[in-house]
Amino acid sequence: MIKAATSTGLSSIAYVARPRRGLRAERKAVGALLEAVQDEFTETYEIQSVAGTLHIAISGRFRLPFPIICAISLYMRWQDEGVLLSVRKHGETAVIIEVFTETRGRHLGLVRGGVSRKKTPFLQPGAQLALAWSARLENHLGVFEAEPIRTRAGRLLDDRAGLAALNAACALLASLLPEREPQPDLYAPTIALFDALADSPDWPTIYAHWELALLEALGYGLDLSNCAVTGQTQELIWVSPKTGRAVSRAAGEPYADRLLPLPDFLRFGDLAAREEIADALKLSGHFLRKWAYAGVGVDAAPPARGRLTALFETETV
Amino acid sequence: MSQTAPEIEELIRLLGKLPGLGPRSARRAVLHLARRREQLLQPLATALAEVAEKARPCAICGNVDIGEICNVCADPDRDPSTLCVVEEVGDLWAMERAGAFRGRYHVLGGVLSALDGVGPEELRIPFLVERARAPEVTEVVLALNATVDGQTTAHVIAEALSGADVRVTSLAKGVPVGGELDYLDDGTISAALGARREI
Repeated sequence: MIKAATSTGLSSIAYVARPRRGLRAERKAVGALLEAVQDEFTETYEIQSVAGTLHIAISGRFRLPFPIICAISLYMRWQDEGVLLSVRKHGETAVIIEVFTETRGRHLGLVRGGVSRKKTPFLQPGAQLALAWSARLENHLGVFEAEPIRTRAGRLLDDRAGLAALNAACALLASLLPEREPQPDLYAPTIALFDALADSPDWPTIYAHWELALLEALGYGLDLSNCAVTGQTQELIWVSPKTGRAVSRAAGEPYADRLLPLPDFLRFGDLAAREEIADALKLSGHFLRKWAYAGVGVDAAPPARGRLTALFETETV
Repeated sequence: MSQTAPEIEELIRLLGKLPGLGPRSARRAVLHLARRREQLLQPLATALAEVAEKARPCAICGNVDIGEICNVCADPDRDPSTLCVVEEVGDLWAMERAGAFRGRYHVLGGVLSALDGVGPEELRIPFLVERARAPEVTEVVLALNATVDGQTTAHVIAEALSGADVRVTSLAKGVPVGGELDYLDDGTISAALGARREI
């Protein structure tokens, strides 16, 4: 007997298998049930028969008593792609990873056997992974099955500045992105940044733009299109530390010591020199601290970002 | 309710906290010890008591040994001109097993980790810089793991040592002995190719 019900706004299915009906009939019956109630689910489901056991993977919340002949496992499950932000050891053999996924934002989950020789090489920050997440309930930590799509750490281990940028980006994402909230406008720039870190010598320029994109995604975008005072679009060389809006040379002259320098490359998309990158990092760092970190009750950006900034302020990168 | 004596239960509970052991394997271990009282249990208890009384971190390198100064630091035959920096005591023991290094060590006690709030001060890096400034030290080998955290720590140490008049080196990265290219990740292959040398 199969019956479906909803309670307190959450979908629930009560399922009782008939002992003599057989796997094929069970599968058909469950399929018919899910067909009937699929409007209540936002995602697709899949039914698989693995070694005589019926597995159903759907999104939603379900309560199923285990039937007699068919072991039915119902669980939350999704597949996505994501970039690894951090890894933390959990117990003796598992790790908890934090990933930034394309459609689900920042997400945590357990990887069983994550400290093994097979998995450690690709469970490094910056690696792009194919992920399958499953849990019994949506608010559980859940378990990731991860496979590498692209590992980047190997190319960066000997590159002090590149590694510092990778650490800074991962630390910023891990500390600022709300958990399980999609960031569609930030994912592509993040992948472009991580690819550039591994492949392109122009990554500092891309990194500087990426921090502005991060601010934008968090709702703290800077307005660099015209002067906050006069409205003019030429000779914008400063940014107001209070409003995050550009200020022109003429309007900002009397307050030059209090305004933040605005490097040209942030507006025109050119390649930047080291000093300009340092200015850009100072600019975005000010607003990360003033708006983004203040918003989450933290005084300062992570030390990893400080190490990157120090490299650009003190030497040639 | 368990019929086992509370003292034995306590031993099982404590053994169960060891790496690789759970409650069941700890119970088996205790049973094994109890059956071999003379050969195993009493010598083990004596050894544990002795280690508990005497073992401590070496005041110089951080290795765990008996006494204030460990055997490696106290050995006059060791080359004092080379310092090998490792993450944990287990790494030091691994290096010693290899028997390829005859210098002295410095155990950091971890790696930099923003997630766990581990900074340079927690890692005995200032003390390392102090040791590296000694006139007899000419080289510091950074034998840290080839992970993002390990190499980030290596770069921070290299920067901290820039003021000391020493050569800073790191272990090579590449194909391990017995490694097959087909099974290596692309990062390792890239690193190995970058570090290729003439035969």
